[in-house]
Amino acid sequence: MGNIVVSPHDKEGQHHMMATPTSNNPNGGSAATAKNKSEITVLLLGAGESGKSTLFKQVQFFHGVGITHDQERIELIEIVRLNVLENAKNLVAATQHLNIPIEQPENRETAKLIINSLNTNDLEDPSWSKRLYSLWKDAGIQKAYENREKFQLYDSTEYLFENLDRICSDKYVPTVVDVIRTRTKTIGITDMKFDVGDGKQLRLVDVGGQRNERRKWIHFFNTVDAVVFLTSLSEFDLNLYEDNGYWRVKESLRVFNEVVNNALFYKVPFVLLFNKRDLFEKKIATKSFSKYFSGFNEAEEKNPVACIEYMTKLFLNEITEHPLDTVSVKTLSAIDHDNSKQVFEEVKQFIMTQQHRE
Amino acid sequence: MSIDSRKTESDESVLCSGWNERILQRLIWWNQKMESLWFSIGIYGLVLLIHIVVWFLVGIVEDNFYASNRFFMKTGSIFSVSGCYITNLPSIILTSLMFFYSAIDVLIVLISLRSDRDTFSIKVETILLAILRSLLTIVYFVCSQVFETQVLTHIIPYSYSVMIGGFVEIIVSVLIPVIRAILDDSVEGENLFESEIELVLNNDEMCKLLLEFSRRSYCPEGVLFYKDVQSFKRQVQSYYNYKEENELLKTNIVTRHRERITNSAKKIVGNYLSEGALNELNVPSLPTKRNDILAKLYASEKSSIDHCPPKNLFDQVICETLLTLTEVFTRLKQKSKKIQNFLKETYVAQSTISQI
Repeated sequence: MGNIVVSPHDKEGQHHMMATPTSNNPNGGSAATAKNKSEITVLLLGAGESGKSTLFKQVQFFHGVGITHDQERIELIEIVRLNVLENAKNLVAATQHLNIPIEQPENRETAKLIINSLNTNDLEDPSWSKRLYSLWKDAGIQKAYENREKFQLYDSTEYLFENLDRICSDKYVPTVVDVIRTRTKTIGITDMKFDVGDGKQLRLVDVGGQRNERRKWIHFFNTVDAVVFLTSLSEFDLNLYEDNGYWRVKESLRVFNEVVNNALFYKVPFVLLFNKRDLFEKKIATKSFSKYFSGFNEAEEKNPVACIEYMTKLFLNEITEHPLDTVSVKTLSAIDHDNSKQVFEEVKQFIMTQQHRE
Repeated sequence: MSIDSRKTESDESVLCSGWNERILQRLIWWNQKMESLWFSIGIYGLVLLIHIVVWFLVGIVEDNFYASNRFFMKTGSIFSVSGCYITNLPSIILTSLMFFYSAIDVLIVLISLRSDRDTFSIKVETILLAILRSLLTIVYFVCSQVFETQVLTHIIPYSYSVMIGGFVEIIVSVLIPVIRAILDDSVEGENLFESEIELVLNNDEMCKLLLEFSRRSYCPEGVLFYKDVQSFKRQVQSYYNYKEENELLKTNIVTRHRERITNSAKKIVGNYLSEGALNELNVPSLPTKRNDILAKLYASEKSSIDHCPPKNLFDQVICETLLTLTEVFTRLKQKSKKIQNFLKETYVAQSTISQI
């Protein structure tokens, strides 16, 4: 892939972001409003934690920008460590909430420090690697982890705890995988552009997925050329981050319904990506899928293909206005570099073909 | 069309919240009454009065009807000012009473065993005090049987053992917490080394950069919220400064000042913490946090001691907002030389201060 333009702005502190919204023109400046035929704007939409930013980071990586450079990843050390601390705090809080005691006394001491005083700078000390790993392996914490659908926990928890010996070191530089596995809640909107041949540029727009972020999506609705909607397959047993009492699948279906049936998108190619296939396959091996979907045949619940087919039908049933021949459905494992590259290439081809047809 | 135009499941929670709010308000009212100074003084006064009345009645009954066959005192009257010996009965009553109090303590601790946490180790303290009280009661009872009429008890009365229990209790449950609170207050405000993002937010020029960057990324709400809360905190601080200087005046100015602060807090709640607000924050369980803050605001409005909302009203939400700003701040840091230089200079300055 050729030339990458992360953002046209050069002014201090204004790179890599969208045109300014003003009170008169909420859609921002020239880049956002003037529909440029040589530019294809693709929106990554979906509810919170569906994997939009993970795919966005993967695209950055295989185009050799952003997190590919050591310097950019060094800036993310604090975020990786913050993920470790947040995961640890959430697990410790869950042991209290679920009434599962932490078994070893030294781990209880570590848990107290985590809740009261530990900060990201402390994790430069390698002794924390051992202490946190020992806490992670504590039977109480592991039991809470097995019940992780009952509280909010990042998907990357296991990965981060298994890599503590690297993370808790003063020489630590996050690897690309570390950055991709790190959860960072996107707020607002970011974008990147890259050449796709034929003198055209593809502008990929990443957005925040939580409820309050969705009102910001509208700024891009009238300039959009394609929508990639992500939903997480593995969220079937989880509740929302912003409203811990609301089923994530229900929220995803609701958002999908509102987006796909939006009049502005009638003529726009639409891709539905079922993400986190890897986690989903692991999850259905131990958890009941049919428990959450009354219409699903229980005998098939350990068969990922049947489960995904069922989910696909569930989502496609929501489409009432959008022409079905411009909708494509795919599965994805966004943390897998090769899979992301292949799926994104297919998505790009689908969008380009639809553009040509138009 | 609008993604947000549809109401979600929270329609029901709005209906429920009115009812919950009424119960909450009632509980807060009771809590305030029980926490108030007059309630405490009233309870102490009442208990003292009951004891005096009991002592007086017992004395009158014994002196008038059982003067030759006393059941509380051995020789003289209970009203005697020159000293007297008690019989076994008061010792037994006092011992039973002390065990009864200890049993209540233990029972309360048992009931509260399942509660979430014991941040101030109150449960442990209560159990230890109950054990100490029981031991001292045993000492008292044994002494009352052994040293009954010995001269030594004129110098060191054995009933001191019961008083020691009360004295230790006052030290543990009143004096130590007061000293702790004073120490904690003195530590607050000495946080010289803030996080990077706070350094930037507290510097006007850098904050403008961050605000502009986040505005262009469609997420200025976190920065605006931080600034509004800082201004709210300054208002509260100036209220206390003014109140200290004009303690006895109780002028309308103090009342107006207080109302302004409450209104500022309500405005912040409306702008950032309400569902569907223009600058709604992206933090988990926002409705719960909003209700907590509104309950605190209501409590401060109805409080008989101090009507001003607490300075730390929004601290928890600020903490979570700073976390959500991490991503946008990291992007700005990567792109802006000005921010990088500012942070570098601040670190040099801070390390110089810490060396000194």
